[in-house]
Amino acid sequence: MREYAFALDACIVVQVSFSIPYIGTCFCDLCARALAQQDNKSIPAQATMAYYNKPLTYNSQVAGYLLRTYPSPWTTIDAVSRAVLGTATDDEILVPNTNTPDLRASVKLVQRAVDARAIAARNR
Amino acid sequence: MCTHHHRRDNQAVQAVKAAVAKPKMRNFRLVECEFPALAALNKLGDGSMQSANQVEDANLQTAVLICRALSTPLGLGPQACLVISGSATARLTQRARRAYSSVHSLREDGGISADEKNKVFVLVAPSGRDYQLAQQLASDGATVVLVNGFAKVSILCVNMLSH
Repeated sequence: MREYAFALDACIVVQVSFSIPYIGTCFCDLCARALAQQDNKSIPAQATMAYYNKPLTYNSQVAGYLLRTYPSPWTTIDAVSRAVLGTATDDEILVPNTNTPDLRASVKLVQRAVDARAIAARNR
Repeated sequence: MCTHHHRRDNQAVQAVKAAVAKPKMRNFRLVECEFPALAALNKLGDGSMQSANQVEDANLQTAVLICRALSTPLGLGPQACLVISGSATARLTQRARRAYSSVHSLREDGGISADEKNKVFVLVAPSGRDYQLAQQLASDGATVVLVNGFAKVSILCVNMLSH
């Protein structure tokens, strides 16, 4: 067994009998939870995200935006067609115990829209 | 670009007003506002002083608009206080004092006294250290608006680790 101690008073014990990827996943998850719960230098989850505008890039270009204009839901928008690709509530998009959105789902939506447009253009 | 910024600022101001009027948690008016200050995204991280100053100016401009929107019209009632982070540059404080009447610099003026806790505070580009102050003020009944808090090292760390 190996012990990891942090300045944040989080102590994580990992059994070496697990496979390496599994250890990595557990370790990262525990780190994330410890940081989210004990971090005093972040905006707390109880705060309200009034306005959020994040350009999402794909192939080094701005391909879409994640936009939140309170009280509307979080909205993923295609940069070219300006179409709404998806919406999400606070519970669905915010990283637990934080006021920060998880961008992965929005990025995937944007990537899919760009790819679909490229395939359509090639078939034309 | 001006029209785009103007539209974005209007959206931000309306959203902040809506969030202050009806926040996610009752009696906890801590409101966040985050957007790319400059349209040229590569300027945000190029490390040059010129780009850093442009980012500061753009953030300040939006923060002043939010302050004015949250203040009583014509200066007849309470005014929102524009709070400058203790880690902000002296240049930003100077510019803020020129652009808006009620400015509190955490470095020059010290902390915020307890009798001011029913006011509205707009914190521009706060650092990690200011989040605790913002949280404390909001817990004590003040309305706090955070504009573009970039120093989210821990949050970024959480995001990276949870991927």
